[in-house]
Amino acid sequence: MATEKPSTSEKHDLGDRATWPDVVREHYDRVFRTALAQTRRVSLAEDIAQEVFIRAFERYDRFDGQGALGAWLYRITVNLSRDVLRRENIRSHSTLTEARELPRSEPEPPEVVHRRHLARVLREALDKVSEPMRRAFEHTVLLGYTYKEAARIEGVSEGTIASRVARTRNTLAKQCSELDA
Amino acid sequence: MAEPEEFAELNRLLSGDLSTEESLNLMRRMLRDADLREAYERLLAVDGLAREAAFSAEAVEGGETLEGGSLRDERRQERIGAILAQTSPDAAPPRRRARPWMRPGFFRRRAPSVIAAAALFILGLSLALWEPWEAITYRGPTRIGADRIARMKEIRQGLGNVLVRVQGGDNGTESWQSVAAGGGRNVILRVTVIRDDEAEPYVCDALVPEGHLVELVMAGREGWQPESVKVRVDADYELRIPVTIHARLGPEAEVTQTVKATPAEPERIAELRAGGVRWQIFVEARPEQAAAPPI
Repeated sequence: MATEKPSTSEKHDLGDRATWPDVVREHYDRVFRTALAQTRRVSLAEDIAQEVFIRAFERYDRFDGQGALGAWLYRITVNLSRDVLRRENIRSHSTLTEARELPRSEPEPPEVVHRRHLARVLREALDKVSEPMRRAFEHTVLLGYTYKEAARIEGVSEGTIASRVARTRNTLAKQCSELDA
Repeated sequence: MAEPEEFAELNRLLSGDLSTEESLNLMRRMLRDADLREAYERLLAVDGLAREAAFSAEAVEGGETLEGGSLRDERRQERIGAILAQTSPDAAPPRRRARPWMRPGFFRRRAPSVIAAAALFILGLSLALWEPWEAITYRGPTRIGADRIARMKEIRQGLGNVLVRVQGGDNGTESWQSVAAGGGRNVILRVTVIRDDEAEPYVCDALVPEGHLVELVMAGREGWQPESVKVRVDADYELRIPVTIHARLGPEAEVTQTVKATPAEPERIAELRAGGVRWQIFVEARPEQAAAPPI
């Protein structure tokens, strides 16, 4: 049994050299974050991530090996998350940037308040960019998918994903700069 | 302030899209260029803030247990361990099923071999479905040869003024039977009955006068034969010879058909299915006075 772990998911694509434990460790965070983005509940996302890998293991022969493995796992995760949410009658979240109001009993340090404010501004700014730009940014920067995987998920080229991510990142950076100024 | 090209390069650095050498070059420039360094830090901060915004306690339930959008390491290892425990952690993943036809351009590259394979498949399928009787099905009737006509005349001469029926085709065996003669013109006939499940056709020749109904099937013949084949050449024919055949091929297979036959040209007079078998009946007719066919 091979034990060498490829450095990136593109290199192995769950190929012959990668072992199943390697694959799980390599993709766990992305699957978990994807489930978390859908459900907004850590405990539920953990359970979904576990179920995703069990299903992927059982259905691995359906993976054609030509697309990015991450994109395949993404589809399983999103479908499973939606099934769970539907079953539990929970609303699915369209963006990662919706915030909840949390009760706060103690006053927070100014830098924490400032950072939270920046985060809120950034959320609002991200909500204002176009859907394709926001999704490209979320897939890569927030969920951790590679450009190749994001390109597979979105059905566009890697160059398009790179361009969208860069433009979104620059837009958000400008917003933060203006706030700081 | 960083230029657009530099922003693009910084984005590529953040995305891990630069080679080691390119990354080092960019970092060296950042050490010398404060604006560039500041731009990089701002973009980096955007990524961090975005993750924080997405996975903070404000954004997700239980977010306080996360670090940068991931489970804390201990918890993460615990969950991964649970997954591996359920999916044979020591086993390699099931091998991928090869699906080369799903790759882009496969058919374009393999078009010649695919076409050849398809042709072979069709050929093989045809052979598999082909049955020997199919070859017989479309076998045409044999034609009356000059030697057979001469033989019939010889028999008639030996029997006197009678009609002659000759069975056995051209295979050398023959039998005949005399029939009371009439006064009309004589016609030479060959009736061929092809049964799809029999290798040999039934062939019977006759030299008959017009206007007479003659049974061609006689008892005692070796091999298969129809139950009954009666033929009659209508009188007063002109250029084409009207031949009526009533054939009883089996228990539920009877056919009566009339055809105006072109002299010396075999014609299919009937085709029918009975008992799961296809039958075809051909008739060839020619006046006795017509020129003898070539030997």
